[in-house]
Amino acid sequence: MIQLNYISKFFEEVTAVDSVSLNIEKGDIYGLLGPNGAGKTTTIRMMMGIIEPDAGEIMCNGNLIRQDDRLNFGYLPEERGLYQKQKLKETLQYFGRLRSLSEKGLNSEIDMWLERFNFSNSANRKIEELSKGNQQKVQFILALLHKPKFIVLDEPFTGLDPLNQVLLKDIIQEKREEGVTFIFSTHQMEQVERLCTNICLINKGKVLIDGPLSDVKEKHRKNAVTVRYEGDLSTSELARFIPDHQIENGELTGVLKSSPEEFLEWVNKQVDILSFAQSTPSLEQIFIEEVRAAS
Amino acid sequence: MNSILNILKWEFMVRFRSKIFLISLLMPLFILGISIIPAMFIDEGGETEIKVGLINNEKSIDAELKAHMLESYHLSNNEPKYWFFDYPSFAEAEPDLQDKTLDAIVVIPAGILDSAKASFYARSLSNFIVIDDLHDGVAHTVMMKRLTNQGLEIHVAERASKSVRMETFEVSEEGDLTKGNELMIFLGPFFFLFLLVMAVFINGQLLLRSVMEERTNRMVEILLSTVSSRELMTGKILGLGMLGMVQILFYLSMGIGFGLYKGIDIIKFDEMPLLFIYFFSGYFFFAAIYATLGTLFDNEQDAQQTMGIVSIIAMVPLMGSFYFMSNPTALITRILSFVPPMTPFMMILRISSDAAEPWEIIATILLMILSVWGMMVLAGKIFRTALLMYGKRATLPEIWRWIRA
Repeated sequence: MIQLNYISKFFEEVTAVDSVSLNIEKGDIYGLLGPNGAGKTTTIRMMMGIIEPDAGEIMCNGNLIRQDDRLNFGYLPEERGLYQKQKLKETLQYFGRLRSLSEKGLNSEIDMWLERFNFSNSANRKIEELSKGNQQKVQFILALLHKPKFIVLDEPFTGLDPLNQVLLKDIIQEKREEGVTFIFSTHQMEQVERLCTNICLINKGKVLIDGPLSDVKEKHRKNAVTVRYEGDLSTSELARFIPDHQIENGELTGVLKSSPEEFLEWVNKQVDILSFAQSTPSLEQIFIEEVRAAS
Repeated sequence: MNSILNILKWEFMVRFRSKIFLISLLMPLFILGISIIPAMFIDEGGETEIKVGLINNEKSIDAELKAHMLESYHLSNNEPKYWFFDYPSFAEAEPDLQDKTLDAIVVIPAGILDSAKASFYARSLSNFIVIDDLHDGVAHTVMMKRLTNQGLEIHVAERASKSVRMETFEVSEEGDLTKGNELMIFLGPFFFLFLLVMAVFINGQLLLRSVMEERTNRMVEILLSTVSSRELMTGKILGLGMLGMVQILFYLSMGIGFGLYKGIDIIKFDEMPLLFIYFFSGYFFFAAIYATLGTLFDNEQDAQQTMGIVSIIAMVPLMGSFYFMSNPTALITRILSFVPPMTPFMMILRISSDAAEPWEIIATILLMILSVWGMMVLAGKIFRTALLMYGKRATLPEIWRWIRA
């Protein structure tokens, strides 16, 4: 279990992460969400030990985290690179050794992953000879190779074709069943909805939402509405009730700012209502609503 | 420790196998080569036989001249170096010189014993060894003839005309004598200095590039999630230090080989440990600077200017090497020996010139240990912070703040 207790990071006058606390349980797939510059990468870097928090503490299984614990961590950073001039297998061997994999287990593990990702014939090719998508898969192997118990994936699906996205998801599910914990940082809300058990939404360094995905959605359920109507609803007054709304083919969807009763009374005066339903909002809607509210 | 060892091995192997390393290994040899090989050829006078057209109008010295040349000048396979072909006149010999049947023509006029004047012709007068040999040969034969004409026995004449040579010796503190070689007295220390400077800068630049590459391709994030910045920096510096060691051993073996070939002591083995101490202290000092520069710049063009300033400091001993070697105990030589970036270079010059006092050696080694330690601490502080700074160049006040942190 990984626990972040009130961690903060300051860069000169900027507070990049402001007293963030998280509880990540074994087997969780935790989605770390937030707009650009929210502090996600800084939080991840602190978890990975790349930078130290200026305040707060990070615990691993109830104890203050040590460098050794991080041998059990795997990391796929968002901005990716590899040693372009080096051979694929040798690069994997180097990182395997750095993460204390035994010489014997190292090669069998590498061969297994190379086969799984269809790289068996490319083991001795230079990285620069691989396509961008294939290089991304190599980086994914780097994050998994040493059988970590805790894996951080920063935007893992960008740049992958649908087939490889499925392969990645399968592997994530398999690993989860083995008890591996994942943290995702991504902007792809559909992926989060499909994969994550928990989410944490950060904005301006602060946690806005944190908890199991189902709880978060339930909490936001009453405010999401779908109205089918006849008439014209294109009035600026609508933004008073639903600041971020979509209107398509006589159907309005969005998350209410006011009470449903108040909105219903207003909308009834504007158009003929064919149907009115409260629905579970998409994660995207929750994201936009929460971030706007916090701003 | 294990991580440092893994990084060390990786850095060493990756660079060792690269083309850049091979080129950088051979480049100094090439530079030394183009300055030494012509000198070697001059020294040997070439290894080809020379065909000389001889127009000898003083028949009394004909047999003696040919016998003397045959006896005195040989190729390495013991074959005669000079072959003579008689011609009645220059006009008849000249076409053969033009069509390269002959390499040179020597005209000896009648009465040379009095006139003391002969002529040499060739397509080019650049091979002065051949000119010297033929001049010596004719002069010697003429002198012999003059002396025997005066009634001296040939062996008496030989003895009387024998020239005197002076051999030079270097006397060590223990009183041992080493046969000296004027050229080598200068070449030896210069060779070591050149070697150290090359090794420091080649590997320093490789280190800078390696740090810069990992920063710009973001591998550093994965690395730092596994090892500490201190381990990363140490592993890299040591890995490239080992590479420098390989370079130096390679150059030394070339030096020893060259020394054996020429029959001279180019390498003094008792000075080896000191030379290695100065090499490593110099390398570590500059490596710390280069590793830090790698974190401060995003591309080599930007780093170039700062690298230039660093290199110039180290180049001072190389540029002034002949002055410092000629004046190894001068005040300026002694002062510069105690300026840390220059200390290793200056001391290598002075030690190989046998001009450093024991106290100076001890003091400069201590000074370098302290300087390297200080430099590593400073570099470590900047390295840790600057490594993850992207897109923004660090300012001097920022760097100062990191150092104080």
